[in-house]
Amino acid sequence: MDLIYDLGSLLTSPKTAFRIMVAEERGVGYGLATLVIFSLATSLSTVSAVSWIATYLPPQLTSILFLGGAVILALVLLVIDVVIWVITSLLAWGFSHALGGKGDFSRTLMVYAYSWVGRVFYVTSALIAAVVRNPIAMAGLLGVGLVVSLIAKLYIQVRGLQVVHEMSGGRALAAALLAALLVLLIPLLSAL
Amino acid sequence: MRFEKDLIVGLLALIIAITAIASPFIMYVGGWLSGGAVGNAPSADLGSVLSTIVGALTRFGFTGWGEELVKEDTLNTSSPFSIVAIISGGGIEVVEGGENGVVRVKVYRSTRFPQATIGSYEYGLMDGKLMVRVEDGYVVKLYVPSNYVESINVTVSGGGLRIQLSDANALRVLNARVDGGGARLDLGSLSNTSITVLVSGGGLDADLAYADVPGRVYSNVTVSVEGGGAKLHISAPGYAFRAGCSASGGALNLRVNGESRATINGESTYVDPNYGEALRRISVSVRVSGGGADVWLTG
Repeated sequence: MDLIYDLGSLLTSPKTAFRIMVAEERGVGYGLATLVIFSLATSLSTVSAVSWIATYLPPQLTSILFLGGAVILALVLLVIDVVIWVITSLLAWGFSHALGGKGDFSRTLMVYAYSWVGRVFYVTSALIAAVVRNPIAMAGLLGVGLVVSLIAKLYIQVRGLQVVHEMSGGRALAAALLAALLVLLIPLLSAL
Repeated sequence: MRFEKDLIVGLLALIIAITAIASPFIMYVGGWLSGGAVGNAPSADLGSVLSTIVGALTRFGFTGWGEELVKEDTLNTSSPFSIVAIISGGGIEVVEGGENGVVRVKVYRSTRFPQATIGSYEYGLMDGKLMVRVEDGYVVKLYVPSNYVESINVTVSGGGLRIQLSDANALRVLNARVDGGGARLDLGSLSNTSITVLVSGGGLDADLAYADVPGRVYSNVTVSVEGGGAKLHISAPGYAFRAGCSASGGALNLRVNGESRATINGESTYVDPNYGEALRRISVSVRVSGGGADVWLTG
């Protein structure tokens, strides 16, 4: 029941939600559960949304590709999400401390894991796209859902950093943005 | 402090996430999201719910999307004929056509995703028999002159069957055997028709309307449900009913003129007070040994 309340309050009032979590000395457990649930929901709803593409494949192949591919993709993306979660949390913790934050790493991990609930907007749009089954509508829905989810996720991270590191909104935003940008740059830099 | 608003939003987010996780598997089952018959359950008793849920299967294959027309044909006949339909996958739809003596055939191939196997289909009109056989991946739609149909024999072991004839006044025999999948029958203007239905799996959803015809009429309806569900609604204004129903397993809901006689593991009988003298009579026998049946009789 706590997890359901957590998810709801993170979407309606994230700052209050994180204050409650800090007061209750909440661990990473529920946050990690949130990450796993929404990571799987993201990949599997995307598979459903784009399933119409596979109708162009031979029918004997589609079932195997559809279900097998969905499960494999979901597990691979889950591992990637966990790696991104740890790296981004580490970077956000570092930038927060550089900007005067006081919170510890485990609390930062908790904030970032819970922020995966922001993907609910993308998942909703992907589910609608799966029912609509129209390429143009699908692209529009997934695009809008992705942008809204990124904003929601960033907003939850900023509010969380504010609470656990006792920072101003501006500094929390700077720490979250720097962490996100550096995570995006790492693959590019490693390719050089 | 926790708020109810948070509980509702959290619950909604979790439901969306779980639906998303299940979505590829729901799609694999195929067609279920566009069902809709479940929401129209007429009553909440077990027999009705069972038969209505299983009856939703009958919508499978007829949602109007994910099908491409692969063949169009016409068959000519000068005399009444019997329909013999065998469905082990895919679907057969029989509806009223326009012209007398002409049966129009349209064959659709399912492009719905995912499609595990593609089977075959065949049809033909010979010696007074319109024979149709369909396997996975195909839907055959027949447009028939309804006053030419003398008898219907259907065997459904998978997929879906729908027969919609509002003017089936020539129909004398209807035999339906449903071992899996679903069958939906909408027949009107019935009179001296013998109806036998056996459901051992899947579901049957039948709406039968009798005609107000002059003279003596007798119709015999026998339904046996050994598994799955059957929903049988008979509307026969001016007719007298006699019904004998038993349930040795599963649930049965017999409703006569709106009065419910639901039973689980028991018998239910009804005889119209003037059945013996009535000119127009319908005798209904329902036996449920598993699953559920929902039988409505409206005089």
